[in-house]
Amino acid sequence: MKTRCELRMPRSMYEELAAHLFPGDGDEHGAVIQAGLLQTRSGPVLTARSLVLAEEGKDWVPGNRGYRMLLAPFIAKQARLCRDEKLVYLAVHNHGGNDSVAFSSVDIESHERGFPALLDLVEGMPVGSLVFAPNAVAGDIWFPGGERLTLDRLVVVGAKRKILRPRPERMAVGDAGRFDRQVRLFGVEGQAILAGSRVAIIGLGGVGSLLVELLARLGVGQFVLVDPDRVDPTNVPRLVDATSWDAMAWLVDKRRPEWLRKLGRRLATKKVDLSRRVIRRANRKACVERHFSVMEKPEVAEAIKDCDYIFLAADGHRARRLFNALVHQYLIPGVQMGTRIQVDPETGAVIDVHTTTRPVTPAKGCMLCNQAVSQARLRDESISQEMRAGQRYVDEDDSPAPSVITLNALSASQAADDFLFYITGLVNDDAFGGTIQGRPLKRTLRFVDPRRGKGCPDCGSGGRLARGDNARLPLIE
Amino acid sequence: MRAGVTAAIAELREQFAQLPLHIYPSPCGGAHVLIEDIPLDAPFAQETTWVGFFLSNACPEDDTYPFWVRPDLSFADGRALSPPIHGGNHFPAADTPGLPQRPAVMISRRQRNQSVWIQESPLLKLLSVMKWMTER
Ligand SMILES: [Zn+2]
Ligand SMILES: [Zn+2]
Repeated sequence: MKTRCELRMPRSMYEELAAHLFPGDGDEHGAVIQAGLLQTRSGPVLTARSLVLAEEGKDWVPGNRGYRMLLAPFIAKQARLCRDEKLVYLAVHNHGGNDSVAFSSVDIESHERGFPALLDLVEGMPVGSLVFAPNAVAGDIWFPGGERLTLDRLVVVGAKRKILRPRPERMAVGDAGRFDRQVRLFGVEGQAILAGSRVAIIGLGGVGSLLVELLARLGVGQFVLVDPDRVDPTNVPRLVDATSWDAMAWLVDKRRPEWLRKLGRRLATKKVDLSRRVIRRANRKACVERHFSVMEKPEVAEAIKDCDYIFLAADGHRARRLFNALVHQYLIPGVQMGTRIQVDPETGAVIDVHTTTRPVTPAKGCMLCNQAVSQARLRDESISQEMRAGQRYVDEDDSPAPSVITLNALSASQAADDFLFYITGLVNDDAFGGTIQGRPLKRTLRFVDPRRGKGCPDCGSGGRLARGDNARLPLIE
Repeated sequence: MRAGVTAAIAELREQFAQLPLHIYPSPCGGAHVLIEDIPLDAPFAQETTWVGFFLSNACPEDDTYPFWVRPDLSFADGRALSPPIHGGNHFPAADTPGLPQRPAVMISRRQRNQSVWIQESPLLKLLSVMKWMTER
C-alpha cells in the first residue's frame, strides 16, 4: 500500500489561516503551523495544533532568491518550540490560482537548502512546507531518516468537513445504480465520499446495532466495530437481524443446567459478528474490522486513528473518557449517543425519558467541559463489584437499565444523519452544532449549546489537543 | 501496576517520606495504599490515624474515595460522627490477598461537582480530605 500523508486541522484554525493568506490583496503571505504526529497503518497523519501568523515586514520579508520568505530568526524560534513540544514544524505560504497549487522550483530549492538543518534543529520530528491556494494545498514533508512525502490531503474538521488537495480529485463518475434515490440528494460525489469513508462504532447494543444498519445501507465503505459482548436473549428485541439462534436461547434458558447455559453463552454470536453480517447484507464490498473487546485496548486506538468519524454507542464513563481524548488528540470528530429512562425507584413508574445525540468535535462539545464524564462514575466503574458492595452505605440499584428499540432509533438516526451531512459537506454553515435531546414523552426536542471550560486537559491548548502519538491516552496501557 | 498508579504512589511517598507507607498491588493494575501515623489535629480525640484507600487502574482520571481511618475515630467534644463519615466499616472494602480486612471508619467524601474538569491527584485528594476533617 502506498504511504499516504494527511493533515488534519480544526475549522477555526483553517478560517484564521485562510483570512491571513487570502485577505483579497492577491499577494503572498506566510505562517507557521505546529502539528502533532500520529503514525497510522495508512501512513503518517499530522494534526495541526497551533498557528503562528508571520507579521508582514517583520517575519515575512522580500526574499533573496524567491519573492517572499520567512525570516531566519522567526523560523528558528518556531522550530525550537516544535523541538521542545515534540511537534512537526510546517512553513506555510500561498500562491495564486484557485483549485490547484504546486510548489515553485524556488520553493523546492529552498526546502532542499533549508530542511536538512531544520531537521537537525527539531531533533527527531519531521519538518515540512505547505503551499495553499483558496481551494487547494500541496505539502512537502521531510521525515528524520530521509523519507520525504507529499501531502495527499488536508481534512478540515469542524461542523462541516472540507477536503483540500493539490488538485481536484478525479472522481469515478459511474452509474449510481442501486444508490440512485440517495444520489439524487447528495450526488455521485457524495456517494463516493461515503464509500471512501471509515467509521468506528464503539458499542453494538441497541443504538450501535441500528447505526450499523443505517451506515451500511448508506454505503459507508469501512467499519471498525468494537464490542466485548455476545448476543443474549434479552438483546434480541433491539438488535438488527438478531435471532434466538444467535442468542443460543434454547441453551441459556433458565431451566437448563448451569453447564449447558455456560456452553450456550460461549456459543452465542458475538455482537461484532452479528453486525458484520448486517453490513455484508447491505453492502458486500464494505470492509469490516472487528474488535471483540472493550474500547480500552491499544489495538482499538490504533484502528481508530485513521477513521473519519467515531460513534460512541457504549454505556459507561470509562468509554466516554477515552472517546473524548481520542477526538481531541487525533482530531477526529465523533458523536455520543444514549437513552436515559428515569424510573421512580419506589413505584417503578417512568418519570422521564431522554434521548441524546451529542456531537463532540475538537472545537465544540468536549465531554469533560460539559460534565458528561463523572470522576465518581469513573471510580465506580473501576472497582470490583465486591468492593462496591463493601463500601456502600445506601442501597443502590444494580438492575439493568430499561432499553427500547424505538428510543434507540431516535439518537441513532440523528447521529447517522449528522455524519452524512458532515462528511458530504452538505450541512449548512449556520447549522446548530450542539446536543439534541429528545423528550419522547413530551414530544419535544431540546437544543443544548455546549460549554467550553478553561484549562481543560482535552480541549484546552495546554493539554492533549492535536498531540497525536505524543500524549498518553487515558485508561490504555 | 498501571503507570498512573505508580506515579500517584511516587507522589505519596515523597509527601509522606517520614511515615510507614504500604502498597498492596491488585490484579487489575490498581493498588491499595495504607499510610500509618498521619497526625490528626483538633477536633478529633485521637492524635494520629492510619489512612487506607484504593487506587484504581483509572488513576488519576477517577475520583479517589472513600478513605478509611482508625475505627475508634471520635470527636474530642463528644459529637457523634455524621455522614459522610461512617463508622462500622472495614478496610479494604473487599477481600484482598496480603491485606486482612480491619475495622475502620469510612470517609466517603466525593470530589465536589465542578463546572470544569479538575484532575486531582490522590495525594491532593487525601490532603483536601484531611483538611476538610479538621474543619468539622
Ligand atoms: Zn511559493
Ligand atoms: Zn474540554
